[in-house]
Amino acid sequence: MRPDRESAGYTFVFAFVVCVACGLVLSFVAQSLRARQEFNAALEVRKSILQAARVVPGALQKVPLQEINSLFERNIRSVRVDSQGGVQAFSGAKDQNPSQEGNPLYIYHEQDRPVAYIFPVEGSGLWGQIHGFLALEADGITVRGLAFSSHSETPGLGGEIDKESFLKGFYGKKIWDEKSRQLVSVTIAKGRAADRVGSERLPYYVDGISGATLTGDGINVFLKDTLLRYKPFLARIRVGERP
Amino acid sequence: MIRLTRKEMTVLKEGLWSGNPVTFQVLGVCSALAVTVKVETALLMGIGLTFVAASSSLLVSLLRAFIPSRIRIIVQLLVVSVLVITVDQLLRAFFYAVSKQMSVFVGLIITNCIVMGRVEGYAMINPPRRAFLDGLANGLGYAAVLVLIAVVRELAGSGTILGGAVLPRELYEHGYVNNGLMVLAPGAFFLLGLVVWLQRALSGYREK
Repeated sequence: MRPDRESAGYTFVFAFVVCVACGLVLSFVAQSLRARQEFNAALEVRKSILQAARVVPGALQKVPLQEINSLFERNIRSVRVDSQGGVQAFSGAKDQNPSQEGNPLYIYHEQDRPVAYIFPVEGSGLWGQIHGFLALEADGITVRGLAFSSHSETPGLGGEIDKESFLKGFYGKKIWDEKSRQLVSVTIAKGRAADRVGSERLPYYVDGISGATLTGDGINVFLKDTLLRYKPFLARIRVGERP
Repeated sequence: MIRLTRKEMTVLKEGLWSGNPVTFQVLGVCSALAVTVKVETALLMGIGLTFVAASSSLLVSLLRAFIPSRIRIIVQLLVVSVLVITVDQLLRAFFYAVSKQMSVFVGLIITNCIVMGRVEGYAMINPPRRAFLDGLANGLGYAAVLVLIAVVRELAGSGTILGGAVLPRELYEHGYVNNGLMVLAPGAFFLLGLVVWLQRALSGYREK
């Protein structure tokens, strides 16, 4: 005998069975693909570091995936910065080692000379966490590059932050005001920077994206927060100390 | 070779041509504007949607005798979501760069009216084999329009096809510039309008 398809009891049982079945399928899919996805995410982080430091001219899109790792290992050294700004060799098997004290820092070397310091930056955008990397030149003042490894901003608006056209605006900007001797960070303006601030402030401002004001505000906050956290270290490299 | 009955042939023809989901039913327009800047994303979106539409139609049709009518939409949605999440996870594992570009649009296949429309309107009242073909045909019909628009947009907007430069260098040296409008959503709007017009004119569709 077939149960009554429209009875409340059958409806509940059916809903329950379908939900459990769907749940099982999804957890199986997620579990079996997890390793590959994590591998991709880790690679994306390395790619962002290379992109921020501008190890390769132009976009990294064309570089084959296998080469990202070797490029990274050849050029980038990961270290930790303690609260006095001292640099310690990083003793982790992988990129992350939470047990070691200090803030993570990546150094881009060329012939044993540091070319860029790359700081992990992260904070809230409009919809969620934004992760990325800010690279400074060896002078500790000039921005070399910026790259975002993950975000969940609106495509076409806030999502444009990972476009080269926007990120290029950061190249050569300053985070340190020599006159007032202050860490000013670099700020995304609302609209065109030149319309918002006078020419003497222009080195600290970047053109914003229209329709992405809140995303930009979020980035401004965490860029500054990050730089403040590395203040002792930045002070050291400004006077020419080399880690 | 799989033999198709005449009825099944009609199902295929409707989805692909005379009842094309984009040009005839005018569904799935949002994603048709969003992922057609490059052929690659359009192609993958087309494949993703075709997979979801065909398999959800098949599954729902198989279940149709057991689904209580009061919760049928929720059950359909559940089946569609499971498939979409699977596609999203697969993309993340094997086409990471593309999945980043497609971002929210894969998730939005769930809300794509084509999938739900075919499932509720066709798969609920037709046998599995035909339901599968119907989903497949509608997915492919959608994909065809997407790829067509993407080819024009990528060619005119970036001078490339599937990322490879196709326009000769000399053209740019003689002052040719890429059409910036084609990269933006309004460009897709105009193109989509033209495609709808063209397809309707060719298929002899008359507004009733």
